[in-house]
This record gives sequence, structure tokens and C-alpha cells, in this order.
Amino acid sequence: MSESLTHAPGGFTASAHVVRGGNRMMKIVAHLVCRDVNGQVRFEVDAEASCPIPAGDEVPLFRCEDVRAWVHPEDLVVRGD
Amino acid sequence: MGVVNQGLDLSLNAIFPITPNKWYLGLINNTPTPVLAATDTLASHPGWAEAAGGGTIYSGNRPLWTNGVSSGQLVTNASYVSFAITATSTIFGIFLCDAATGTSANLFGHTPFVGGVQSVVSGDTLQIQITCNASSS
Repeated sequence: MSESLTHAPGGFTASAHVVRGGNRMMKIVAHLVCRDVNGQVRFEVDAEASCPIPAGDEVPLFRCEDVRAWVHPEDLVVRGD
Repeated sequence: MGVVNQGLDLSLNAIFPITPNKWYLGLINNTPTPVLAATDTLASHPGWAEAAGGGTIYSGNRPLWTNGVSSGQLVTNASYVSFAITATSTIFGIFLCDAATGTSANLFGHTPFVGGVQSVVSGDTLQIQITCNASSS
């Protein structure tokens, strides 16, 4: 006769769960492609920003919307050649 | 036949009383890479390091394991035991001992988390559930 306590299969297990506080940050990266009237890509822009992840238990979902981009002709730099 | 289920429940209830609870949870740091050994004691565990409380990794002392009565030859905590995290760390698992502080106490056991290491940052709450079961062979 023998007893198995701590060394039984699955005898001692621990599971953990992290509830996020308010100190986690996430990074948002946006990639912008600008085309001319002929559909040819003229330039591309990468932009990124950091913002806090809301505290809590659930994995947050985010939807990106209201994207606006425009080019001001008067802001274009004329090349020297 | 060996020890019957009732005997196993009695054994668990004797080791893990509920009035009052007498065992405390500690955290095992993932650095250095932990190596758990059957010969470990709370005073001597060369293969792993405690992720300390007192504001180092979490606030306060080791929390009490709020285990319930053994049922089906298994003891667990019905409500999570929580650690208020105060610094960025990666936690490998837990150990169970009978002192809220220090190393002059009995080490009952230690184990990695079922779901793998847990990365935490200040402000997080690490919630833990432990199960200990007994069987006869």
C-alpha cells in the first residue's frame, strides 16, 4: 500500500490570470499610401502613436476609423534640379 | 486496496485546515530560469528565486491560501488569491509555505503555472488558483 500526495499526476497545479492595471501601453501604427490620379503610388507614410490600454479583465478590441489624409500643393518642396 | 478516498480527504484536510487557513502563496521569478527540485526547502532552493513581496514585485506579504475543505480528494481555493503587482516582472509559478514572510518555514510544494509564465507590470493584479489532490497507488 502506498499513498501519493504531491507527486500524483496533476497532484499540485496552479493556474494564473492577470487583470491589467492602467499602466500598459499599446502602439498604433498606420501606413498611408498616396497615389496620383493615375493610381501610381507617389509616396508612403508611416505614423505611430502610443496610448494606454484600458485597465480590466477583457482583451480590448479597437476599431480604426475616421482616417483622413490630404496633401497641400503649397506645402510641396520643389527640387533644386 | 490502499488508502480509501475518505482517508485521502482526511489527509488533505489535516494538512490544509480552513479554520484558520495556514498556508501562504509565494511567487517564483522566471529569472534565473527556474529549476524545481524535490529537495528544495524554503531556506535552500538553489534552482529558483522568489519574486519578493514587500513592494519589490508585489505589495504586502505572501497572501494566505484560502483553501476550502477537501472534496473528491482535491483541495482548492474557490476565490482567486491575488497579488497586487508593483513592478514589471515575469512570474514562473508559485510555491506554498506556512509563513507569510522569511525562509524559516516549511515548503509544501511548488509548481509552474499551467498556462505558462505570466508577464506583469505595476498596477496589474495576478490572480491564482491552486489545486492539490491526493491519490492512492
